[in-house]
Amino acid sequence: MSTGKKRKRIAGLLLAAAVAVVSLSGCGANGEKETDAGSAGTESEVSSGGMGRYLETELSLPEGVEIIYALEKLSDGQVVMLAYGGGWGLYRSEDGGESWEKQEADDAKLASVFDGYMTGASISPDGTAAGILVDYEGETPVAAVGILGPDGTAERKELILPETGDEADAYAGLIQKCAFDTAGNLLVQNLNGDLFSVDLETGNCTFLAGDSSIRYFEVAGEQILAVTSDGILLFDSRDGSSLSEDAVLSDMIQADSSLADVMGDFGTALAFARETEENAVFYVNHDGLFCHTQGGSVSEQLINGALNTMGDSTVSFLNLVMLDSEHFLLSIIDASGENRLLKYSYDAQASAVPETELRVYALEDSSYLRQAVSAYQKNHQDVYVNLEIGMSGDDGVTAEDAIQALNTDILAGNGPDVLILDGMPADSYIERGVLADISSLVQEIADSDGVFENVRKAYEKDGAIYQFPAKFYVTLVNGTAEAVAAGASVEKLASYISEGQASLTPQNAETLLKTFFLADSAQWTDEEGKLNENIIRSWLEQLKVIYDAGNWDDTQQYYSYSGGTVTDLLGTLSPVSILTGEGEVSYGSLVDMTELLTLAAADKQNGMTYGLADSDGARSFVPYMLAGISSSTKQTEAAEDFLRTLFGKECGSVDGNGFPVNRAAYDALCEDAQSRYGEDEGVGIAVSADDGISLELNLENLTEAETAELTAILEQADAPACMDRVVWEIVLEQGKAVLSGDVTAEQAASEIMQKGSLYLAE
Amino acid sequence: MRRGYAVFGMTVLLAFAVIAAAPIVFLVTGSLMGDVEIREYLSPVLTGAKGYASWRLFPVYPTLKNVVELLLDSPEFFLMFWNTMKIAAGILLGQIVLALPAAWGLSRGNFPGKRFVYGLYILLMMMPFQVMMLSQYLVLKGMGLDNTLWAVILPGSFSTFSVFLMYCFFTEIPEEVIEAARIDGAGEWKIFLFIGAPLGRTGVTAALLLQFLEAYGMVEQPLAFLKEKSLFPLSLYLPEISLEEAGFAFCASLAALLPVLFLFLAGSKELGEGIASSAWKE
Amino acid sequence: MRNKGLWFVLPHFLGVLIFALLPFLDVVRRSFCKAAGGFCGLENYIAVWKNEAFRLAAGNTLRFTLVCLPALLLLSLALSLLLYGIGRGGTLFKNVFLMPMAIPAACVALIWRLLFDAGGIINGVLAAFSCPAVDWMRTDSAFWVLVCSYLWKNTGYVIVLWLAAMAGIPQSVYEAARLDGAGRAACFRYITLPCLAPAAYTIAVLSFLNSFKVFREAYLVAGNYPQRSIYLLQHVFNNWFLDLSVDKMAAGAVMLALVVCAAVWALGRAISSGPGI
Repeated sequence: MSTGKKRKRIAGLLLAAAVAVVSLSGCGANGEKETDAGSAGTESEVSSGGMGRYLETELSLPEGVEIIYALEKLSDGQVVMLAYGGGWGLYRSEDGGESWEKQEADDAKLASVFDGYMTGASISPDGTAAGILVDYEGETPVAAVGILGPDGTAERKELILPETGDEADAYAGLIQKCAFDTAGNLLVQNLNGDLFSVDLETGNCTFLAGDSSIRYFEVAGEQILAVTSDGILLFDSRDGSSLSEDAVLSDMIQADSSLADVMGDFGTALAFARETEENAVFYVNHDGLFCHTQGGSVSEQLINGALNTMGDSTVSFLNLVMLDSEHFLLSIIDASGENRLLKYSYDAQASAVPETELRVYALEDSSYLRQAVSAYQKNHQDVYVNLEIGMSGDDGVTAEDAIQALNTDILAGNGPDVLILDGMPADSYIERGVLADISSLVQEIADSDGVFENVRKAYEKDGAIYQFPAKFYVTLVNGTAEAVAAGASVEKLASYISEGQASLTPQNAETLLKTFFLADSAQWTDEEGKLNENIIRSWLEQLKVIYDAGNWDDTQQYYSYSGGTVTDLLGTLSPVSILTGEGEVSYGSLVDMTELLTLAAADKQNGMTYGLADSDGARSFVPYMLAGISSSTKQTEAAEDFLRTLFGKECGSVDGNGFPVNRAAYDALCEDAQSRYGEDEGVGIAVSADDGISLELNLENLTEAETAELTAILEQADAPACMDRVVWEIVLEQGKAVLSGDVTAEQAASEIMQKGSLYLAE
Repeated sequence: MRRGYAVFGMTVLLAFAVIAAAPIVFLVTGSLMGDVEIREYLSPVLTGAKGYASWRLFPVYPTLKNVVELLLDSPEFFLMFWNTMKIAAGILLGQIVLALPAAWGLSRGNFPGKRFVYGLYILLMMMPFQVMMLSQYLVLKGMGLDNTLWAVILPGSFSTFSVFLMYCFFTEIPEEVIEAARIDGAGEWKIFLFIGAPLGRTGVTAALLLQFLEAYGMVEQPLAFLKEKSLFPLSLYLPEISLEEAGFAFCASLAALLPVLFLFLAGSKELGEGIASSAWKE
Repeated sequence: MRNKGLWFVLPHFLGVLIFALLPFLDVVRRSFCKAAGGFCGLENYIAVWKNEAFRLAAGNTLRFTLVCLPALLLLSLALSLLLYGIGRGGTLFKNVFLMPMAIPAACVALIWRLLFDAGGIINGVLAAFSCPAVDWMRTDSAFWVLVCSYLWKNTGYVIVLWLAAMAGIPQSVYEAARLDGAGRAACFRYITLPCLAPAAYTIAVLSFLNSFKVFREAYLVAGNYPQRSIYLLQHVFNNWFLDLSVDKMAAGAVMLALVVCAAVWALGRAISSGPGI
C-alpha cells in the first residue's frame, strides 16, 4: 500500500472526527438562543421563567409641548427637557419625568437664544442648554450656538470653524447634531462628518476627528460613538483620539445598516444614553434596550423591544436617558410624527416573560401590523404578542411554502391565535372551521365607533363573520365628467376610448391588467365560485381595445406598488398625468387621504372629476389586513382584544394603506384632511412630467363636501375583489398574451377556464 | 476503427460535460458581474422587456462587489451555513452509525421478516415528503423535538434509501471472502467492520453522497419543523432570485456549491472502484 | 446461526418505526377518515378516484416516469460505457457530470427560466437562425423541458452507479471470453449486460425515487398550476394540503404507495436476479 493512500485514510478519519465533534457540539447548543443581531428574526428572544421585567408607561408631556429637542439627566439627578410648542420652554422634573415644571425664564430671552432653524440641542450635566442654529449667508451655511446657562445667562455665539483653506468645503458650517459629554464639553458634527469640540466662551471649534462616512454621533460618558453605515467609530471626546473599535457594536450596524440612517426630524433607529455605568454603555434599538460592557463579547438585553413600543419599527428614537439602573426615559417620534415620552421601570414582581402568549401570524410583515402590535402591547403588558411572519422576504420561502408550514401547525393543533388572512386561502379555512365567528366583536366596534356597513355586509356569511378587514381600497376613474360616466363599466370605457374621445394615462400590460382585475374580478364567479367564461372573454376583449388605443411603450416601467400580497396588485391612479397631458382618463386605486388631496387639487386645477370605477358591475373594494381568530385558540379574550386594537380608531387613523373600515378612524382622517395645512393657503408642489413639462400643483385643505364625496364612494363598494392569488396569476399570464396579440381573447378565456377548473376540481 | 471509436466517444463525453458544467460557468460569470450588466442581459426574461435574453462567457465589467458583499455584509449567510453543516453532519453520522450496519444486516443476515423489512424500506422511501409531513410533525412534536435541529436530523438519519443503496452493494461482495474470514474465526461484527464496510465502500460513499446532497438542499423539512429563524439552513437562504440582486444570489449559490464540489473530489476515488475488483485485490 | 444480522438492523429499524412507519400508518388512518375526523370508509378513495385533477396528474406522472426512466438508464449506461473505455481519465468527467446535482433548486429554476422563457436564450438562438420562437413553458413542450431537466440533473449520479457495477466485473472473465474469440459486441451482450442486471434494478428504483424530486424545480419555475402536461401528483398533493384537504391527500398517497409497491415488485421480477419482495 502506498503512503499516499495511508495519508488519505488518516485525513478521512480526521474528517469523520471533525464531523462528529461539529454535530455533537452544535446540536447540544440548540437550546441556547442566539443573541447576535444578525440572527434576530421576527420572533424575539424571550427566555423563559424567572421574575422581574421592565414595564413601559407613557408619560404625559408638559402642556403644549410638541417637539422635544433635548432631554438629559443632570448631575444632581434632575431631568431637564428643552422643548418647543408655540414657544420655547425649559422644563425640569424632580421625579424622573412624571411631572414637569417650567423653569422660570423670560420667554423673550429664550426666543433670542433659540429662535431660528435649530438642527440639534443638548443639555450639559450642570444644566447648560445649548442649541445649534443654522442660517445662510448667501449660499453658505453658518452655524451659531445658543446657550442658556443654569444661572439664567443667555447668549448666542457664532461658531468659528477652523480654516481648512478648502474652497469646496462650503458646507462645513452645516452642523447637524450636537451633544454634551459627561464632562460638559459640547461636541458638534457637520455634514462632512467632521467632529468638533466647541468652546462655549468664544464659539471657537476645535477639530477632533472626522470621517466622511459618519452619519451621526452619540455620546456615552466621555466617548464619542460615530455611527457609519458599516460600523461605529469610537473617539475620546476630550482630545478626539481614536479608540479601538468595539466589534459587537459594529456588528450590530453591519447586520442592519438602517440603524445608521437618520430618520425624519433627527430621530434615529439607535440611541445611546449619555450615562454610563462601570465601562458599560446603554443603547436602544428596535430589538430593545441593551447594556454593553465595552470590549465584551455580547450585549445584554435589559428590555425586550418585542414587548413594548421600542419594537415598533415605525418609531424613531430621540433621546435615551438612564435615570438609574432600574429606570430609563426614552423620547421618540411615532409614525404620525408625534413626539412622545416613555418611561421604563423595573418591576421585580412582574414575571420575566408575560405569562400569556398571543401568537399572531401574517404572511408578510407590514408597518400597519407592527403598529397594531405595539399599540396592543402598550395596553396589555401581561401579554406577549409573538408575531410570526411567514415570508420574511430575505429567504427563498415562497407563499405556498409558508402556508404549508402554517397548515401543518394548524392541523397539529398548534396554530396561531390570530391570523392575518391577506394572501391566504381564507375560504378553505372558513370551510374547514379553522376560523371563529367574530360577528359580535364587529358588532361591538360598529356600536362604539361605527363601521362601513357595506364592508361588513360583504363579509357576513349566514349571520356570522369569520374574517374582517381593517382597511380597504377602492378603484377610481378620474377624468372629465363624461369619462367618469363611461368608466362605469369596462365596455363603456373601451368604446369611449376607441371612439377617440380620450386616452388612458400610460400603463404597461401588467399595470393595466392589475387595475382592471381589481375593479372587475368580483363579478367573475357565480354563487358556487365557478368562473364565467363569457364575462372573462369579453373583459379580455375590452382590455385589448383599451390597450391598443393606448399605443404605449410597453418596455417602460411604470411605477407600481409592491411589497405585499395586497399592495402588489394595486393600480396607480395618476391625476397628475392628466394634468401634464399624458392622457385624459386615469384608472387606479386610491390608496390614502394624502393621495385624495393630490387628486382633489389636480381636479380643481383642470376641472376633472372622479368616481368609483365599474360602478355598473361589481362595485368592488380591495380589503387590507383581513384578520380572523383561530377557532381552537385558548386565548380568545386576548385575541379579541388584539382585533379591537387592529380594527380600532388609534391604528386606523394613521393615514396610509387604504381607508379604515372603522368610521371613527375614518372621520378623524377626514378631519385631518380638512385642516392639514392649518389656516394657510395650502402648499404648492412642483410636478414634472417625463417630457420635462413642469407645473405647480396647489394642495389645499379638503372641504367637507369633498370628503363627503369620497365617503359616498366608499359606501357604494360592496364586493371584495377576487384576491385569490392563483386566479390572478392565471389571468396575468393569459392577459399578457392577449394584450401582446399572441393569443385571442377566446383562446385565453378557455385556457383560464381550463386551469381554473383544474384548480376548482381539486 | 479503434481510433475512430475513441474520438467519437471523447466527443460525446465532452458534449455532455459541457451541458452539465454550463450552469456552473454561468454562476461564476454571474457572480463577477455588476447588477447593471446582468440587468442588460436578462431583462427580457425577468421584466418582460422586448428581445431575447443573452449571456456572456466573460463579464465586460468584472467586479468583486458580490463576493465582498457575501463575505463581509452577510452574517446570516454564515449562520445558516453552519446550521446546514450541523444538519448534514448529524445526518451523515447517523447514517454511518445506524444505516450502514442495517444495510449489512439486511443483505447478509438471515432472520424472519427480513424480506418484509426490506420491502417496507422501499415503500417508505417512495413516499413524497408532503404526504408524510403532517404525521411526521405530530410525531416530532409528541417527542418535544419540534423547533430543534434534531427534528430535521433524526428523520434524515433514519431515511431508508441509503440502506437500500448500500444493501445492493453489500450483496455483491463474494460469499467466499466472508466465508474465508469466518473460517479464520472472525465474529459477525468483525466481519462487518473489517470486510463488509471496507469492501462496500463504493456503495457507502455513493449513498452518503446522495444523502448529503439531500440534506444540503432540504427546503420543506426545515420549513415545516423549524420555527426559529436562527436555526434555518442555507437552503432557505438562497433567495428567490430577483433582478435586483441576481448577481448576489449567483454568488451565494456558488458559495453554497463549493463544499459539495469539494466532497465530490474527496469521494471520487472511492466511487471509482467496484466491489469485486477491490475484493480480489486485497 | 439463527437470527443472524438481526442486531445490525434493529436499531435502525426502531428509528424507522418511529420517524417513518408511524407517520405512514397515520397517513393510512387519515385516508379512511374525514378531514374533521370520524371514520368514513372508502369515501375519500372514491372521491380521489373520481377527481379530475388527480386523474390528470396521475396520468402525467405515469407518462413522465415511463419516458424518463428508460431514457435516463440508457443515456447514462451509454455514457458509462464510454467512460469505462477511457479508464483513469474518466474521473474528471465523472465529477463534472455530478455537478448539476449540487446546484441549489432556486438557481436551477432561474437558469431554466432564462433558457426556456418566451424571451429566453434558446428562443434567441432560434431567432438568430430565423426559426419561429416556441413558448416552451406554456405549451406541451413543457413536458419535454421537464424531462431534460431530470436527465440533466440525474445522469451524473446514475453514471457513478453504473461504473461501480462495471468495475465489479472481474477482468479475467473478459480475458477468458476474448481467448474464446468473443468480439466486443458479444462481450457486452453476454458478460456486461447480465452482470449489470442487479445494479439495473437498484438504479431503476433510485431513479424512480429521484423523479419525484424534480417537483421542486417544476414548482419554482411554473408555480402551483403549471402547464397541463407537467401537472404532477405532487402538485395535487401540495395543493390539497394548502387547502387543508388532508383526507384526500392521504387517500391519494396510499393509492400511490400501492402502485409503487406493485411496480417495484414487477421490476424485481422482470430483472430476475433482482430481489423481489
